[in-house]
Amino acid sequence: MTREEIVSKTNAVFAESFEIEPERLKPEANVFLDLGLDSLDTVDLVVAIQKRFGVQIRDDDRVRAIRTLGDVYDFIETIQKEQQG
Amino acid sequence: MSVPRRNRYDDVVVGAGTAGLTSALLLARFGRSVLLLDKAPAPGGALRRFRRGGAFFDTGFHFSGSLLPGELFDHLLGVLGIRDDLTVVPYDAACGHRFLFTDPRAEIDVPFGLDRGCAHWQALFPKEKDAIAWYFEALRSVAKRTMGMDVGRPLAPVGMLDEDFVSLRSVLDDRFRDPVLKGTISAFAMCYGSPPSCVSFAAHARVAYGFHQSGGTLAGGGDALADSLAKAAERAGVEICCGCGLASFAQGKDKQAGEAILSNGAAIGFDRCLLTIDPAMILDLLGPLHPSPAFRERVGAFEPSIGFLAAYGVLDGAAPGPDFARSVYSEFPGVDFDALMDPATAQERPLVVIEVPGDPAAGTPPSISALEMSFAQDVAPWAQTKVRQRPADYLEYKRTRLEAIGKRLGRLVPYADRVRWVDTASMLTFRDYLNSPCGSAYGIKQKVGQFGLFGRLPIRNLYAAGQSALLPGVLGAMMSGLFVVRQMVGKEVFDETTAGAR
Repeated sequence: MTREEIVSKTNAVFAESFEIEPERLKPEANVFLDLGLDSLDTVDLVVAIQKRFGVQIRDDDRVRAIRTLGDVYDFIETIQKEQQG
Repeated sequence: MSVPRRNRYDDVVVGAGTAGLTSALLLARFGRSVLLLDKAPAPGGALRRFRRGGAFFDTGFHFSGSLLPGELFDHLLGVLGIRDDLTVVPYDAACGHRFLFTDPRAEIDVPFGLDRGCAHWQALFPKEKDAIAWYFEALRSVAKRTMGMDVGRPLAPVGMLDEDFVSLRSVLDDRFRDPVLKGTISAFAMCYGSPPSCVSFAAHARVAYGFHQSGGTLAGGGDALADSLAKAAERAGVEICCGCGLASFAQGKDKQAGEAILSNGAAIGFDRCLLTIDPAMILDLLGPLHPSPAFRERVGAFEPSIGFLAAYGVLDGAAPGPDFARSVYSEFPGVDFDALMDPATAQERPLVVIEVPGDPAAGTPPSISALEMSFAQDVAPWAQTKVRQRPADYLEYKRTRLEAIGKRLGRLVPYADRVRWVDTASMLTFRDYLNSPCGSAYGIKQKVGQFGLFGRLPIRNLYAAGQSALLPGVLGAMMSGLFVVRQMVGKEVFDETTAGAR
């Protein structure tokens, strides 16, 4: 999957599953401070990403390290490679 | 119907079953004012027994594992301060659970104690000695690394385990060859309600570990546990309000719910509200408060666990022999539990028989509960009907299944011809008496990679616990109550206060 596809699918998760306006979905946007999610939304975000990308996300320090939307793209790119390879 | 005495509480707990009673009791012990609500006329939920033909029958609590001193159930009773109220009645340590497989035919016992159980199965399946040793070690290892299960240790914050991300099915197929051995290992699925291809090895291990440790029941059955929990809760200051449910929440601000609107119309203010009801009902209550679509999708994807069609009988004539009520008997018409637990299967369904000795002095006859696995699909044609208004074809369905159970009973126990059936309950009966969405026995199906509803919810002043949260069954419900209170009062305070009880 190309970076563009990852970005567009991830943005779709935020737009559809968390009702965030598409124009706010910039790589530098902080998921918690700018997009208004909080730690209690993390499980729902993980489940939505698992479903959208067909990947399995474990309780992982890398999930807890996520701050920006760009971090989310990077994380998905990494686990997709891991789980395909 | 009782009515709350006040219009505001620190905490409102919805559902007075095992998880609700446990958490209300603990919250009150931490000095909080607590209102505990239940639609049913008395607290206890599925712990309650009912009386037919002079005998008492349990609804949901038939037996437990881990109930010897120092094991998890015993430990939790200690933390809750009700250990001395209850008397454990242990099953036969040599064969507490007896599995009869009919195709291929095999009789397998589960002796209590993991070492003894391991040695027994190794003797039955000598070619797979090493894999069996690995399995029992894996049960110990998962229990040891699961938060709260390693009794006597501080509650270390442990995340999910690698074993949470593999299915029981993949472990069975990777490690074992004999189909009967695979069936034997899978058989405790009857105690958590999800098929091997669905359930994680960790969830399986957490339940199976306890049933290998020990087994038995409580004198007085689930009623004894419900009564001691309810009395302890009232002593701690919990106000229990029965015959009154939660109808809705008023709109609140800042991702919070407003007041709790009860079924009698009363509006009750609260700091926090803990929902110990089925996730599908939580989703309905939260809907108008606009949780994210992600939350609605996640919870909407939960599926119910298996349920049971239960046949209740009393024994006429002389008292049964000394082995009566010393083992739980299960009959499995196959060894592949993914097939057995498929609603579309044409096979007979697994059957579990639980014996209760009765009390000659009190004139209570010996009795049995025969539980045949069932699915929501079985009773779908009558899903719109209510208790005492069921149509004739539903009664015919129950009668046909009861007759089949009666025939099968003869293969399992020597006294089958002396059983007088006094009642049957379908999943619809359980649904309507327990106010659950479909009468499943273990809440939601446990699936690999699924996250149950536990702890604080995305509506910030609402919390969830119950057997669908972490682990199914009465132990899972009690643990969820313990952990949610730990989250609500703060873990430092909680651990310090409960340390003495451990």
